[in-house]
Amino acid sequence: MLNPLQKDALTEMVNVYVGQAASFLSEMVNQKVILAVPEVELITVNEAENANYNLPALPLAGHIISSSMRFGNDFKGKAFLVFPAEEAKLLVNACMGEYSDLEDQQDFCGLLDTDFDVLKEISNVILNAVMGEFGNFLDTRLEYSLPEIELLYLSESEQKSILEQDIYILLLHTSFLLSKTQIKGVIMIALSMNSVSWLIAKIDKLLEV
Amino acid sequence: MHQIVYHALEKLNMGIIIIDQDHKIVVWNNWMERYTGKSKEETIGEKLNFIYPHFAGKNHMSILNSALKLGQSRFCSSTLHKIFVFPADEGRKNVQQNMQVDAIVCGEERYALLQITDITGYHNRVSQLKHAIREIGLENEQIKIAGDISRYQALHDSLTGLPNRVLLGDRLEAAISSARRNNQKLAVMFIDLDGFKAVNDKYGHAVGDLLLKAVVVRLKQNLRESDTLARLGGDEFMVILFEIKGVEDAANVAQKLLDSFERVFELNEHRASVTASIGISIYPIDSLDADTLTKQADSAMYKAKMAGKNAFKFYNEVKI
Repeated sequence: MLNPLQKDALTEMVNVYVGQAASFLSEMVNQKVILAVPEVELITVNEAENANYNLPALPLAGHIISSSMRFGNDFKGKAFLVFPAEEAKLLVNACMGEYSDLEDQQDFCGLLDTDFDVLKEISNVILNAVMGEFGNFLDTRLEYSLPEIELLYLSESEQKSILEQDIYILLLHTSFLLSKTQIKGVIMIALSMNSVSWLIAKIDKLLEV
Repeated sequence: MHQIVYHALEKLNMGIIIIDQDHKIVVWNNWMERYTGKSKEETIGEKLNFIYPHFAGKNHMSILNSALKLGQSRFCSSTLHKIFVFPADEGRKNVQQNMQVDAIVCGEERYALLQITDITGYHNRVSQLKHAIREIGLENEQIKIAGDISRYQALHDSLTGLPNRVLLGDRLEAAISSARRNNQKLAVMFIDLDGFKAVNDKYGHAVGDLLLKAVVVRLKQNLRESDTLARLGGDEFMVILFEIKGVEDAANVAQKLLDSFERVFELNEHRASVTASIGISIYPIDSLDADTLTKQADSAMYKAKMAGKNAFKFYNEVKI
């Protein structure tokens, strides 16, 4: 879907965006937060549903926490931040200065409502920063909803079904680094055909210069 | 219509503040008046950070400005921020609030809507719940430990810590099936002390107990780690010797055990001498099942007693 040049440009852009989100988060939780997006992919739902398509880094099976936010106007879609439930709990703990290992983690039931609030805010900050910058890049004004947090259980066979609504998915593999803890999640931005063409056209323009 | 909406805003069970682009307060609802003790007269028209200076901080400014300038919505959790507006009742402790910031666009004018909810009670319930979960976890841990202890007690002799008759039965069954699979021999030894009752009668039970512990130490010194030594009760012990090559091995071990009784036992200020009578049965020569092997070892032990004690006998007399 993306040629290597486009992919590089997009990866670099997105890393700047999440860098800003990281600095917001650092201030909020009073410790250094590093966010990195080592890989960006643009795929279609068909590709995602195709069994041959390998999504090794997608933490999409089992219990997951999904935070999703709609954005709209001309550039339109839905952005998701997805974590495996155990990692979400580690993230909350790390934000509150409590450290634990994945092994200590008995199960995701340890996630209480106040923890969901923390995840809601974290995902809000990150998705706002990323989407806001996409808006700036495309020079368009976006409207945003607040994120909705869900705890989902997805079996292997269902794992792609949350993607079905939209046609194109921009996958940002994201890793959080909070002092001792590394947490992996993924940002998925589901975009309509028009929005994707617009984004790619804009990237191409950038590459021409 | 406007009137109805305005009244509804006043009745809402949450704090509503609307500020304009200069952060000047436009709406301050009844809940805010009640909660903070600051009236509409004091607040409307003032800058929000004049009323609450922390709203001039970098973080709060960026939240408000992203709503006013970028139209972004923002949820702020009590867990990370604790508090946004201070309650009139200063005695309240650990107040926790959630705040949601949204953009409102009215023609050319842009506003930010702040919705504040006090969730202190909720937080307290959550922390009680966390506490309860932790307590239950600890109790569960203790129950597990108690279970482990009673399981251990059910299978071991309390005086010597050796396996008891029940555990010995299990071990013997396991040893027999392993010997059958690997085509090996094993020996069962029944050990009964000679003269233990006399020591008990002369010095009392306390000294008798010390003697039993001392006997166990000597027996263990002459057995391999892998062999099982069990106390059947009183002055009776049983040994399972695994993987022996032949009856000679069993005879050698039995002789070493008898020799270990030669030295006098020093029990505090008392000295005592005891010997042992040992009966031996061999799998698979004498029998293939655990119960019979045990009975055979027992009856061989009686033969040793009858032959004058301080000796070992095989169930089947063999020439070594």
